[in-house]
Amino acid sequence: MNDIMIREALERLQAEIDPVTRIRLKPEKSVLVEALTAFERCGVEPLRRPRLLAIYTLLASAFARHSEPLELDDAELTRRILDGDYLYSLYIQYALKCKEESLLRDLSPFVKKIQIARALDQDEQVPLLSAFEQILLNHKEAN
Amino acid sequence: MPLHKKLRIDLRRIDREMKRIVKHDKDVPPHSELEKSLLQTINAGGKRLRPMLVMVGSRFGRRPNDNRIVQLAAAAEFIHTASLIHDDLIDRSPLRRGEPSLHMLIGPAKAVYVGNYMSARVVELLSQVDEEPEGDRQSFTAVATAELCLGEYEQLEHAYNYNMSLDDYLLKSRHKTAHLMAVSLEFGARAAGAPEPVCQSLYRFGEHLGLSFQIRDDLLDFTASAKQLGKPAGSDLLGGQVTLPVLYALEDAQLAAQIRSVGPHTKPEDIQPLLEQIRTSGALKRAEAFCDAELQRARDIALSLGDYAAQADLLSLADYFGGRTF
Repeated sequence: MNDIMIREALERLQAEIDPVTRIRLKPEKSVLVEALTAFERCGVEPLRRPRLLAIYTLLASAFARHSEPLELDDAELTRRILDGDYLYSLYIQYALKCKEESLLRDLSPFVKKIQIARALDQDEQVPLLSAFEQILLNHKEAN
Repeated sequence: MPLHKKLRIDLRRIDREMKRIVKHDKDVPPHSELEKSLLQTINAGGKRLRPMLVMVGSRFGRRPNDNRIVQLAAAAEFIHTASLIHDDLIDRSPLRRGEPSLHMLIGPAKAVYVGNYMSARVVELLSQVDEEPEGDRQSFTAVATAELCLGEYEQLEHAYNYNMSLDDYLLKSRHKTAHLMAVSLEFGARAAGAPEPVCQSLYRFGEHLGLSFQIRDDLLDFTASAKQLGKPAGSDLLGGQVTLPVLYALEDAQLAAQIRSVGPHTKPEDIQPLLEQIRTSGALKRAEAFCDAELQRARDIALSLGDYAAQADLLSLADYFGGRTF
């Protein structure tokens, strides 16, 4: 079941990515399985899980591209900045396309706090997957 | 008369809103390096063209001057500024408007995160909806930034590519420059409740205006002084950007041979004679004519919006973009 969902999510994602970027996403399977397990724990229905996984993967990949070290003499710096920016904008675009406006809204303070922590050299307080879990549980309780 | 005065826009109100967005964020520690960097970036100023486009767009709706329009205007400038901070890193440019770039002051990693904060803060702010359909304001960030990135990829892809076509150049310029200007007008109008066909007309107006802006920028690389540009003249050519004047100059066999010899290791002093030859070749006049044709297309769209008093503001924008010298 997980394999099918992961394949579906990655196929959807790759179809969204503009070829000019030459981005090929290859997230670790264990990370994706962990995310799917968390979504299941939060009571997310199976049909919704691949699109949440795609959204999660886009955001996690955007963060990873912008993680330190970021040095001027790094030949990959340009691509890493561009890829991170593009994946972040695609995350927003794809979340809206999937009608996940409320997830996007509730994630936005977490995303911002992660950038603040990075800018201030602080530990990132809430791991991204925990933020997803917290929000999905809140949505479940609200419904 | 400065453009903002002609358009009757109080730029101080926009700047105040930008600062308020930072200072009212309880997650940004007061007096932290992050807050200082953000306020310094805002205080460094700029033309504030995109906020002005949002404000002008809003005049085609029922709710111009609403506080949320000012917030959207500030958001447009946040998106633009974040992209400039990252652009300076991508180009390894040590100067921005003649002053040290942010990454020269706080280091590349922190500069990336300051830009990221600005983008993330915009999404957070625009998500706080009231009566509007939830996705409307959120999509502003998405539609604005994805295209900016594509423009950067295309520029990277075509660096020192002297076989680039005119269509490729226009696509890159639409993505990199014209699109954000166009959506600023379009979303300003939509947020103020303008009819959808008018929003679409304003997008098309903004796209032509933005394209003329980019071509004018390309021309300034040859005609403006280092002081006006905040960087040496010829920087685009030296950096491998195949701009419209360069595309036209490439049609001259003698110039083409010299242009094609410009590469990543060419020194600034080596291109000075070439710059002079391009200046006198007729390539600039042709690029100027293309720029004027884009502005005329923008004016034609403005003339079709005669039912609105704000039509005059569109024509003022076209006049300003046509006469810009730096």
